[in-house]
Amino acid sequence: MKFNSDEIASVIQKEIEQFSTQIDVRDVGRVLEVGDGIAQVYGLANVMSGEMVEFESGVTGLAFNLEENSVGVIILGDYLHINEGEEVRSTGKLLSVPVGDELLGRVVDPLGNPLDGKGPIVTHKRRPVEVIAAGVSERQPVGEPLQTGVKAIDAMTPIGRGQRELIIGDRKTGKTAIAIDAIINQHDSGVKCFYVAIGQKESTVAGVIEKLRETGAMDYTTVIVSGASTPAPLQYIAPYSGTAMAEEYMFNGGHALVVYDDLSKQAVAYRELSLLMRRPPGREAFPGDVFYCHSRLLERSSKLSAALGGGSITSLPIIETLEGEVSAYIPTNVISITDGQIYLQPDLFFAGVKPAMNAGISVSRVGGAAQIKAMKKVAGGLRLDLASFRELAAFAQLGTELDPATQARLDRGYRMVELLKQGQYRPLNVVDQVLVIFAGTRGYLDKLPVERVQEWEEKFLTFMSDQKPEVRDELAEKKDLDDALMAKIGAAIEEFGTQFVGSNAAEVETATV
Amino acid sequence: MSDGVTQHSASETVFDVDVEKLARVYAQAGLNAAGDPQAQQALVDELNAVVSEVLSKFADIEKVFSSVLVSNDDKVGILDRVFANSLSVTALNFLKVIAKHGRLGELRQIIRSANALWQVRLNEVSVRLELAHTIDEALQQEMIGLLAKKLKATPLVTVVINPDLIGGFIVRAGDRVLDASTRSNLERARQAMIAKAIEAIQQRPQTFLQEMAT
Repeated sequence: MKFNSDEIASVIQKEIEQFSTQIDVRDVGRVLEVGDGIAQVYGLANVMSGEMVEFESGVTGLAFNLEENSVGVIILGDYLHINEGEEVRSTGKLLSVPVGDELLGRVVDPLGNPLDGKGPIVTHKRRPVEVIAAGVSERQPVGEPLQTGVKAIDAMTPIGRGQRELIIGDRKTGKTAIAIDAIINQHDSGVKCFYVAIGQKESTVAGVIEKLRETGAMDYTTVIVSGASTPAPLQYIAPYSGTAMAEEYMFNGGHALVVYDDLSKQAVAYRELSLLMRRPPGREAFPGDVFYCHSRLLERSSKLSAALGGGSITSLPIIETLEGEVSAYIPTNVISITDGQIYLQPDLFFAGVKPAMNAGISVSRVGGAAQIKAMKKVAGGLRLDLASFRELAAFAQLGTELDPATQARLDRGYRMVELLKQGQYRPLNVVDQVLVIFAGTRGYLDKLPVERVQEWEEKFLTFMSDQKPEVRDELAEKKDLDDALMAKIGAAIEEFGTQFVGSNAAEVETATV
Repeated sequence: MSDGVTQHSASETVFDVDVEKLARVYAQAGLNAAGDPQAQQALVDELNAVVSEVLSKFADIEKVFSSVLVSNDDKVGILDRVFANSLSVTALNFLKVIAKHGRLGELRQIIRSANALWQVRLNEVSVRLELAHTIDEALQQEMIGLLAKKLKATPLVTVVINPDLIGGFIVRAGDRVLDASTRSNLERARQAMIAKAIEAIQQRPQTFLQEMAT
């Protein structure tokens, strides 16, 4: 194959015929100093904050600081080829990124340029990176569930479409894993996913992309990468770019899920920029408007009113804490902005409780409104029960003799903790979640040895889908639990109990908890 | 504004925003202290003469002015001895205030700022008119007239001939650039052709590919 030169000539000819000369009017300035991803520019008297500027070398920048005598520009590209004295022109445009279905399955940088070597992204649609979030009258309350496929989350801290749920925890506690599971679980929900990797190792991001590919999740996912070696300006704008790409779906009545992994690193990039721009440092040397930096980003995640199509952006911002310090500046800021948080604890993680969610201090401010009725019925008091179980368990470690009622609560707690454990990249359908949590909370597992709970769960779900599909289908259809259905599920659990190898009475009685 | 100042301004490549800000403050104070417009004009002329007749001709004096080894009082004494008979009281006082504040090293920048401020007060604007080749006087005057109307100020035009433009002109007034040169139009056409061809290839790749002759 070779290029057909006649075709190219005809395209060029058409362009020449249509070309009209015009006077190019532009505001210009000159670079005073450049370095570390920022430039000070003299001139550009009429430039506006957030306006894109273009350097003579072709690199673009963003007017960031408007000072009395100069303009601070953040450089979105290679700043090593910009020289002192170089001309800078204002473009009169805001920074925008390509949007649309063409981005699905692609890995792009924060400006929308492809990074995956799969060729250019052909789309004419663009959206501004920075926009004002939808107002009060343009929204509706969050009420539609977004299933993450993680039992502990869907049962205890449910997430609704349009909600902002923070995932917070120390390093290596499984924060990204939860977000990836949530993305994988959207395979049949029609929710488009955007994974924004900020300041991460490229190898880690490559691993995430590979996993998304393996599970087929890349078909509906766009990955926006601004790695650890990317200049701070690009790390700073990456979450805004990801949100702009997601807004294309929200404003067209669709649903999107955005994962910001993680906003602590974005705050650090913003701090770097601000300090280089000589903005006054505040607490922990962050600039005073770092709260606004995150609030204006997360406010863009919303559930639009029915009149505007009812689209939504759900966001899962991730914050990494140091030694569990949630009262640091950035964690408290983001906790106060979001509609709840999933708190992951290292000691739970190392004790084998995965996801290592601390049920006591993890909350979802949307609550039961973002759950299907069946889940609400089976998991109603689960969060508080688990929290009180943890207190009891700590007390029981002292070796004191417990009354039978307390011992029974402890036994139930051990089994529930075991039941809520879940393997990575194995999100569970909400119907299956309801079935197993029903069994746990109604005491059907009380006689089962703790170490066999996970085996029971796996086989029980196979049993339900193979031998009792009608019960499962009824639950999937009704999404609610009436007395009749509960009786059917109870009977199915009893029936499975007799089949479950090793669950006979003798073995159960000899088993130690 | 004298030519001497213009030439020096152009030759100074190092630009300090902080000094410029400071210089503007002194320039504004100096002009306001001069009083009526005639006195302001006289002050600006005298300051320009200081640059062209003294600073440019005797480079060492500028070194003395900016040296921290020479005390401010000594600098005031030098000013008295050098300029007492040649400058007006207003101009000399202005220089002495600058000296007493230890800012004589920034004198050039202060004078440049005074010129810029005076231009603004006279509603004048410096314009650089870049042409591909010389044009006749009538056409040039017509262009200047149009510029005056467009800028709503009296343009102080500096004409530069640059054959690289091929045709047309570039006007630069302050931060605003009006580019009607053939060079820029050709560059725009080149970019448009590349963009259009890439877009067409991306949208209909098969149309642009043909089997290699075996």
